[in-house]
Amino acid sequence: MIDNEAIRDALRVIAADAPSTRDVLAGLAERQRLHRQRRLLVTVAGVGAAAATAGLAGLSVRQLLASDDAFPSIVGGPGGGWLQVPLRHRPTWLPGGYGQAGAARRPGRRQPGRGHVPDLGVPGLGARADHPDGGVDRRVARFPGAQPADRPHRDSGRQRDCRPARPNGSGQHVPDLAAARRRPAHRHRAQRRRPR
Amino acid sequence: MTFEEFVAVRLPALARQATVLAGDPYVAEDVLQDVLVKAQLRWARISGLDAPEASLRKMIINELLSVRRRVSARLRRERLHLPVGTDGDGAEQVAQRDALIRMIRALPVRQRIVISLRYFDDMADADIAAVLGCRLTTVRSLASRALAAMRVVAGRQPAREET
Repeated sequence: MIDNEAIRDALRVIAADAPSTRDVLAGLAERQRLHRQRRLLVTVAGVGAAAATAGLAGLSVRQLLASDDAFPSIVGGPGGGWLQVPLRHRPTWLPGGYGQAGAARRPGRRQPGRGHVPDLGVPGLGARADHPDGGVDRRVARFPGAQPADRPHRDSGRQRDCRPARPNGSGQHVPDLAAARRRPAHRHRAQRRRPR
Repeated sequence: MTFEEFVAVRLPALARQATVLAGDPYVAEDVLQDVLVKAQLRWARISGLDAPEASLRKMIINELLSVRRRVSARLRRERLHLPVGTDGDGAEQVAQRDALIRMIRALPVRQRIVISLRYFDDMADADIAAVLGCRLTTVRSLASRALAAMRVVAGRQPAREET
């Protein structure tokens, strides 16, 4: 049978096994040193984590603000290179006033309609609505220098020269004026020979 | 009173208290060193209290009730073997006391703390409830279960002697 006194007696026996004061104090100094090191490590880690978080947040905010203030520099040209598509025709010389021969200047002689090249302000850039691939008007192709860049020639079937026009120093394309002057002369001679 | 003066005067009593609460002298030494390290950092606040010893006792109990301590205490309890009875009249009381000691050491932490505070410190159940931060009925329930386990051990002794 267990009574209260037996329990107290057992607890006193357990208490008699208590560690000595010397043993407790001997390990206390080492444990204090370890505790200080652990606290310092935790503090440094916490400060580092807080600094990293604040730095990332500040960097994100700075990038957001910078994108609003300044126009971003585009690498690789307009649209970052997405807008660079190959030209279907080489830009070259066109006679003055080409594309402006509408009904306004010669009323009654020619009306805008099928095959009409609208005046877009840029010579040679008129696209035909009846052409499935938006091809160039034949009048454009008749002029020297206005050669299709990627369509085979109808007569020979050969691929035409796809070399781009040589730009001058200012970035504008130099029209081939000498070839344009020579070409009508050859045609006149051919027409004179034809009746014979 | 400085921390060093307090330790020089009260450390033996704290060691006995920690040993009874922990049920193991090595665990008591470990817990007491941890508590003293923490108490030294907060000694300015602890020394201003009316009973610094009660504060350190509360710190010892909290340290024993921590998850880490409870896991290790459960492992120790699983390794415990119940005492085997001995022959002879004089040896029977010694064996019963030894069985009781081992049973107290094998009790769950909260039950052992309640038994220690009730029978070693002569604390009332209400005070024990205040120290543990639980209700009075919880304290009585823990004490009842601990006493029932100890009675089982005490009643097992004669039965083993007969066999």
